[in-house]
Amino acid sequence: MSGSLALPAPYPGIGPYLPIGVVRVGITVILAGSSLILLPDYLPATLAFCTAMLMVVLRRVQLGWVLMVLLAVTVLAYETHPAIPRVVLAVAAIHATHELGAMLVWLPARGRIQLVVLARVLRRYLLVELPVQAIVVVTCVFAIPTAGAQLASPLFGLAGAIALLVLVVLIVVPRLRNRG
Amino acid sequence: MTNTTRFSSKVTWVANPAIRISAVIAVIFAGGSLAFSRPLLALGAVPLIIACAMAWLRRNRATDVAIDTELLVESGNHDIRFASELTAPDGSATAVLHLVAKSQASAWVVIGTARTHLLAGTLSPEHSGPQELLRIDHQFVDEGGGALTLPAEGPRLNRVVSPPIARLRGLPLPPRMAGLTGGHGSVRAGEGGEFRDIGLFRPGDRLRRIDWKVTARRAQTVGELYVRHTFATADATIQLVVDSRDSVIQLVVPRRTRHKEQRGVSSADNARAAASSLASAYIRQGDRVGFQDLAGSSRVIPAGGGTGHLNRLLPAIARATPIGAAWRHVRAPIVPSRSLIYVISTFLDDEAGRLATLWRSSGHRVIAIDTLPRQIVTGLSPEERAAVGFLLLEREQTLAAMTGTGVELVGWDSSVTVSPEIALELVARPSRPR
Repeated sequence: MSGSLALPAPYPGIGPYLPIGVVRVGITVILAGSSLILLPDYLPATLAFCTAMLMVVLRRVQLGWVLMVLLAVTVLAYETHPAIPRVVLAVAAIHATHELGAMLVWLPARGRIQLVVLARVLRRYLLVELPVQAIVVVTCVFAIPTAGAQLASPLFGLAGAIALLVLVVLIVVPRLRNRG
Repeated sequence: MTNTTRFSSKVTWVANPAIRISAVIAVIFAGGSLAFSRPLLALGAVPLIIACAMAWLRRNRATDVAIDTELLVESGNHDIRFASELTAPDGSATAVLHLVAKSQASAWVVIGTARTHLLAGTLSPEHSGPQELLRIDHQFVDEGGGALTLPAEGPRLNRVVSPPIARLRGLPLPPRMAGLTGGHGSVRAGEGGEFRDIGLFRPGDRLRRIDWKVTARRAQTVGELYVRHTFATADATIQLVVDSRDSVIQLVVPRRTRHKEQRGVSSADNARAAASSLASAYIRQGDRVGFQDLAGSSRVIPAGGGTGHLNRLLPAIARATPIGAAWRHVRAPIVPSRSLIYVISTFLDDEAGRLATLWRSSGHRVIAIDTLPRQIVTGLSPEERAAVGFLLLEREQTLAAMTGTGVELVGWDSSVTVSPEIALELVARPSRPR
């Protein structure tokens, strides 16, 4: 006889699930990835990466604040004229660190997690994040001197591309018709 | 066969520590923004403040939780299916369940609770006997993620797991049979058995026993009749004496080990399997079987036969487990006369061997079933290995002294290659009823 405990998949009436190991890897990728993107210097990037790894491994130890402080100080406080996407990403990463840190408090080291649980966390995140990002963009336009140009240039570029496309269509299509 | 357990308790909600930390960080960011004239730093505080406020406003106060668990044992199958219905406290959004099975097998499941959920699975217990099969520990997280309950132990599902029953063919018999009927030949003259002799008809002889050919050949006078006499049939009385005062696991773990691993076969598993197999086999062939547990005088079932008696024996054997400290018998327990006695023990102390020798010296046929599993001593220090070696050497001396008095020895260890059934058949071969 060999002792075991088997849980059928899927559980009756519970629906799809993910292994918690996959979720933990995903959390590590989000936290470490955003830190590596936002922190260009070697030392804070290494510190943030290690903190992200430790946060996932040592789930009882609350280390999320280290990551949040690093991101906020480096991008939001230290840089005088940061690019808007960097500010947007930094705010999103700080918020994500908070949500994932709160989840890691009760997330077991192994097992299975129902997808609806993750969807609920994501919904809660987006519910706060989307309005906040609108505030972030508006604030950046007023707070960063070069932000207006930063924000306008992609829009002008997009408009120029569309105009070019329309022009090409207007010139090329009649000529093709005439040949036919 | 189903077994339902209902569990209900109150849970205590506490604030999520991550929310508190984030609230403090948000205040620091906002303060830093003002102090150092960094407006962008305040943006970092905005989502934290909103998230913490939402978590605080949505915090939960409900306390009642209920878990109904049903165990279903399928006949002929060692697996035990379970279905657990969880009724979560109002307002809880997530349930973290830890299903702890015996032998440290466990599974974590995180589900989104919509008040009631059904969780099902299969348990394959490693050991037989009375045991805690499953415990469902639980923790709940509220809708906002700002409050959670402390991890709490849930219902404990206890059950007596039946040992596997081997099909035994050749079975040893006692030197003399008892009883007036049964499946074995007896030394007494009587009805139903093998041919004994031919004699003159006497009052009491049945008319159908008259052998007319012999009468025609031998009769000297008119009215002289010859009848065929047969041996009577009898049943054997078997006494199973199980020494469940101790249970030794296959893996010898060092004293310093904090978590004693319960993996591998235990001597109690072997003992229960041996006793159940013997009881089933003997009763199937029409013999009478009694049961005695050396761990307690209250665990005695007198010898009997039939399916009803087997249904009493098997649960008693399955419940045989060490309770309290091992104790010595002042005198040997009384066993039926002319019975074959099986002493099922690890023989790690001399108590079972002493009783076997006593019974043998009083004329019983005694078979000692050695249930000690093959010991695995990896990971032990040299001193601990030496201690195990001395203990096993002492046991060998006990076994040698016992077999020297005529007690037959059979090993019953499912972890070794030699089948106990074959070993028992070999012991049965030279034995013939007189």
